[in-house]
Amino acid sequence: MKRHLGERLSALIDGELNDAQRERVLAHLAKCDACRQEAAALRLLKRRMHTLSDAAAADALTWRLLALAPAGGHGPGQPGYRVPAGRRHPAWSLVAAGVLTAGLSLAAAVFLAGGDRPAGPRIVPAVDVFMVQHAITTGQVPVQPDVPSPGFSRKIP
Amino acid sequence: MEFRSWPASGMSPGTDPAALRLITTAVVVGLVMSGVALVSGWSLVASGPAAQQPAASPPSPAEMAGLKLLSQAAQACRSIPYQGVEMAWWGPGGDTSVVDVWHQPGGQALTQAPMASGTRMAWPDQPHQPVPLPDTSGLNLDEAGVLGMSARLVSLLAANYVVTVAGRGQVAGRPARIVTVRHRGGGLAAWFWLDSATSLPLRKEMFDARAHLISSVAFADVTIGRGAVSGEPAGAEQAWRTTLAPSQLARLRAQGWPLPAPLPGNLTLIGAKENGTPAGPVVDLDYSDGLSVVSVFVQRGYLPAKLSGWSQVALEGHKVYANDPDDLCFAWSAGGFVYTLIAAAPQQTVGQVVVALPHDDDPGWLSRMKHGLRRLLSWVSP
Repeated sequence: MKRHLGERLSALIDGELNDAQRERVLAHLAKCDACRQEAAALRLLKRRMHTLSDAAAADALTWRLLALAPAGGHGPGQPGYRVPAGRRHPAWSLVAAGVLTAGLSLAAAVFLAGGDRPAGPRIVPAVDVFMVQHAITTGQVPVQPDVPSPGFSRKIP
Repeated sequence: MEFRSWPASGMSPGTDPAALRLITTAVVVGLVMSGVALVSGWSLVASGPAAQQPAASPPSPAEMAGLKLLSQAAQACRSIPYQGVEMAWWGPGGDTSVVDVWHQPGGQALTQAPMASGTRMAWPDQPHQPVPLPDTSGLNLDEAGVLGMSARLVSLLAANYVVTVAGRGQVAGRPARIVTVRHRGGGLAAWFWLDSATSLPLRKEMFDARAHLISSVAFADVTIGRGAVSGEPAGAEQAWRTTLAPSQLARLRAQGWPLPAPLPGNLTLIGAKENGTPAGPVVDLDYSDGLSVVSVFVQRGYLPAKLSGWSQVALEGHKVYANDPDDLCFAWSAGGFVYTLIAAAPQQTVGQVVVALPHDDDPGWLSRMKHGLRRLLSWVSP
């Protein structure tokens, strides 16, 4: 029964074989389709893993940049390092601001809804007309102002 | 000055003295009883305990003499022709106005109001629409009379005050009898000067609860008798034609109109009228205790935030607009109605009336928030 490469394929992909071992593995791959397919699969897997490791590197860069802010502080990954309080949870600040805005808006809406809009027409009291009616009630019936009178009318300041 | 003898009302020349005394006593007792009946009658219209009026005690001989003089004065106001010049003063800060007065028997006492010639009154909201003036048919002119004297007011005076004859004086060169009007508690309320020959009122002074003079109306010059009236002007202003009966008032109240029957200060509803305006109907309620007269005009709507010519003041804890420097004209809106109050009354009485009428005072932010929350919830879950 023909033996396949097994773990030596991983060593080949990772470049961990010496020259002699590598020659023997390559000779086997030249004659075995199964091992060639497995070797191709291992390379694809390693490439994808490498892509993920690039993302992890980007996060590391972010932490290093953040560590530049506090003068004399501990850098990220160093013992005693603490992320500044204002930057510890930036998303929470946004959430708090949103909740506050929503609360104020609701309070304003409740206050506005609690006011009663005046009903009916806008009225300016016809005080001159009312004065005439009141005068008639008290026994004084004024003459219409545009009717000429032989008498006089004056007002003492 | 022309003067012709004119028989006083209620007494015919040549009447037997005994019969005269009997008739006079009957007239005075009748006035007192009618005053009590008038108060009781409006109490039926009134709703609630505020309609109750203090019971009037039987009048003393001095009070009967005073009431007799006032009843004669009320009759004289209707039956005697006169013409004169009248001076009126209201309140410490008020102006003194001088007006011409004409009166023919059975008619209204006409006054030439101190207005600029050619001025035409109009509704402020519709300045181009003249005030509708109905014709005079069917008008009840019982209230007409110089210095505010009428049979109805005398009846209310009898019910609410103690009226006595105080002495003699003189007004515009004419001898006069002085009648004192006192509160039932004893405080001075008013003085009347009645013409000795005709009982026509010549002068009236009113006092507040502290016996301070608050108004004075008097003839500076007067001519009494047949032929005394000349040059009487035409075109008097007319009272609103539509008078409201108690049943009509009750119907309006059922429709939500706030139309109180009595008001504090023993003010009895003596008349109610209605008139149409471009902004809707106006109801005029007139109240009196026999001495003071308060008119309350009620119409649907609300006042604008600023009223030109008015100033906002606090009266008895309520924010109202004041139009008159004498503090006798106020306006405010509450519950979808606008109230305009015009008073010929002491400020204490005006304050009581203002308090008794509805107001929309600021409920506070907490009440407003509760109200708003309920309203929002009703929108979400009707």
